[in-house]
Amino acid sequence: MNLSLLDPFAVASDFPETLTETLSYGYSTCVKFNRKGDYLASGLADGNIVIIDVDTNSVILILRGHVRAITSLCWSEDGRYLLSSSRDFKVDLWDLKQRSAIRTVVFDSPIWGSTIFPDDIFKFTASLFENDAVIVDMSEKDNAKIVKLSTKPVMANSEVNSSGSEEREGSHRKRRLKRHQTLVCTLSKDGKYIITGTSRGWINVIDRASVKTLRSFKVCDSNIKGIEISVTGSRMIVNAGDKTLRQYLVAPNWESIQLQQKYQDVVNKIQYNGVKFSYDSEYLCASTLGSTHDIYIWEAKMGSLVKILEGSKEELISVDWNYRRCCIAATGMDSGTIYLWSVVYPQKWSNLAPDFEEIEENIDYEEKEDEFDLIDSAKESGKVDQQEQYDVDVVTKDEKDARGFSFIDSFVIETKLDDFDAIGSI
Amino acid sequence: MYKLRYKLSQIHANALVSTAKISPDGRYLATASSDKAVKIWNLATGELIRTLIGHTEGISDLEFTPNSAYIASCSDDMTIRIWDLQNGELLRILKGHTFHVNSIKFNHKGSILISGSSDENIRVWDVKRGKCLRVLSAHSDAISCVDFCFDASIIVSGSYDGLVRLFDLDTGQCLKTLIDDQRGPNFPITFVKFSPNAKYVLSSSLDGDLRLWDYMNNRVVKTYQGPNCTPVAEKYTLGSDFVIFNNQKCVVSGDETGHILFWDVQTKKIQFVLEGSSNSSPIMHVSVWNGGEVLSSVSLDGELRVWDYHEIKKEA
Repeated sequence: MNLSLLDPFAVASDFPETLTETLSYGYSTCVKFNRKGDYLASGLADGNIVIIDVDTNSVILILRGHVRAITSLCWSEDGRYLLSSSRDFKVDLWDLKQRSAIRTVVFDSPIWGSTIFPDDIFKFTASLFENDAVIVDMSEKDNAKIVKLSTKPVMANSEVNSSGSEEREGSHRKRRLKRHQTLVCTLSKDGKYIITGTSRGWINVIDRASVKTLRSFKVCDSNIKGIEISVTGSRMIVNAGDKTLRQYLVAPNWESIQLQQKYQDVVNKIQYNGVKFSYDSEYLCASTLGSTHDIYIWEAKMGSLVKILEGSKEELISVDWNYRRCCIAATGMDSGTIYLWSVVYPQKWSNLAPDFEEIEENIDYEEKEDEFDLIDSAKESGKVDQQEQYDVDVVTKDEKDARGFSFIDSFVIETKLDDFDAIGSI
Repeated sequence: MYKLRYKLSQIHANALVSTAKISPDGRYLATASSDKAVKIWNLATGELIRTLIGHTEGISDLEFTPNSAYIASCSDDMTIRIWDLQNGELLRILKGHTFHVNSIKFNHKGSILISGSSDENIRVWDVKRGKCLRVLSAHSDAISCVDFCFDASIIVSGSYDGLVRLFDLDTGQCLKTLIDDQRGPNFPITFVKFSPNAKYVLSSSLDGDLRLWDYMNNRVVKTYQGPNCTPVAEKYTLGSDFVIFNNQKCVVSGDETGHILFWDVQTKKIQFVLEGSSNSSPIMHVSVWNGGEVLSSVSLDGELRVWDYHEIKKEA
């Protein structure tokens, strides 16, 4: 509601520009905003998960269960559930109403990352350390059904030849060292396809229903570090080990994937860590590893660098974009601090005295004919009554706020005042 | 329209009562008084459940958290206290104001409390940590009332300096100031409330009128007056609310002679009047539950009445 009263230019800004807050609640390895953008989940290196209320920037809830660093977090659409994966071989599903984990799935190796399916909170896909990626159905407690996803790419004939020759060139020993593994997996926005990235630079598009690899293509020779799909579903960013971000245009149903843009810093040779699109996928931001400690923001259509978010004193790892509040969060590598960049609204001083108007330059004031006339009070009251012939609707709410987001109801985490544990331990 | 369920008199023996509010879950009713105590009542039966004692001066306002687990009270002793409803335990004391605290409000999540005080400041509190996040100083006289809009992004405040101001919760900036420049000097504002859709602000001032503001356009769209254009209140802060129930869209407020007035939002006409006090004592607050299914009214001399919505059947 407040946006319509704030400075329209600031409200319309596409990305934040100013470092406004740093939060130090433990060593954070992973940050994720919920869909409404009013809570921030922060996974810690010690395995705890801290939920931060964005309004107050204070801890509202701590989830204890993991014993090693959190590798990924994923909110359900309604904000009530949170899926967490950790280096301790476990994936937990937390119900924030019960304030505890309602499902736990244990694997044979650490988990790189996990994502909930948008249509079913009990189903998720995960990529595992030195293992194939999986789809898991945990609707039955203690009886999770796990389906493995093939890492092997499906190849068109021409590609088979080229990749085959490469295989021959390498010695047997080298081949063993460079085993083919799935490193990252993510979901298309409709949840029908699983997109995986492998250690040899392949991207596989896997159909969820048939668990078959529909198509594969090779991005580069080095490993895939991350895949990010825009909210609109039409753009995809692949972050690879060769210090390059590649932006692809995705056709509906993943029938074709076209390279659009490459982002790389040839001078500084920067590795990119987290990548995130803006809501309309017109911009993307990436945290950097290397000599700079900044977040880079590019315009996605032309591929031009538009902004560097400065202010952190360390290299940045995990990054997330809060669309509704136009805010970017990133975690620092050395201290685990969370840095928040937001839009700063200028105070309009004329708001304090509405009879004053802010003007660009001086104007000569001309007195109106009846400006200082005394009006009969009876007549005045009649005038007032006439003026109040407005139709008022005090019930119907606006559907969208000034940024164009519809008002949604999201799960509210109860504020508990009797668990001092939450405040004392951090 | 409304049928009296029960009435209790002298609920705080020989003391003045400032407000009575129904909890969001509809189970409790809380009353605050100049005798420094908060009383929690069973709404259904009118039975006294608990008395919360701790404040060292009279209490001006009360507010339940949205989950009905806690209740906050603010007092002339300059503190705000948050109590556990289940066992009456005092959980937080919020200190910072330097004069009487007049009005408090929780956001819809129950994580933030705002308070308006006679020290001319509004404070924003982090409930969990019990810490003051922000102080909003823009008014030049005592703040009589504060309210949140439904998504808690805007704070509205009314002050004895005659101004209604809107603040941004995140930044603490003043977003708007409402002045009725057509009607001469500004009388002190005693009560403000957002409409359910937060497009309008209802204000009461000591010239005796209730006004509905279209704050985006800086204008008064409706003025509600007592019977025959008499003032509704010239002395006391009387709490008002919206009744949005069964096609009824009303503004409800008590007056200083023991009546509860219901105006039609659109036509500004008084639709009906309820008797809220047998001694013609001012009706300090009318609390509306579930849009108007249940009402409670309390008079200054301690008469509490609970009303149920009662459909008047049209005769064929």
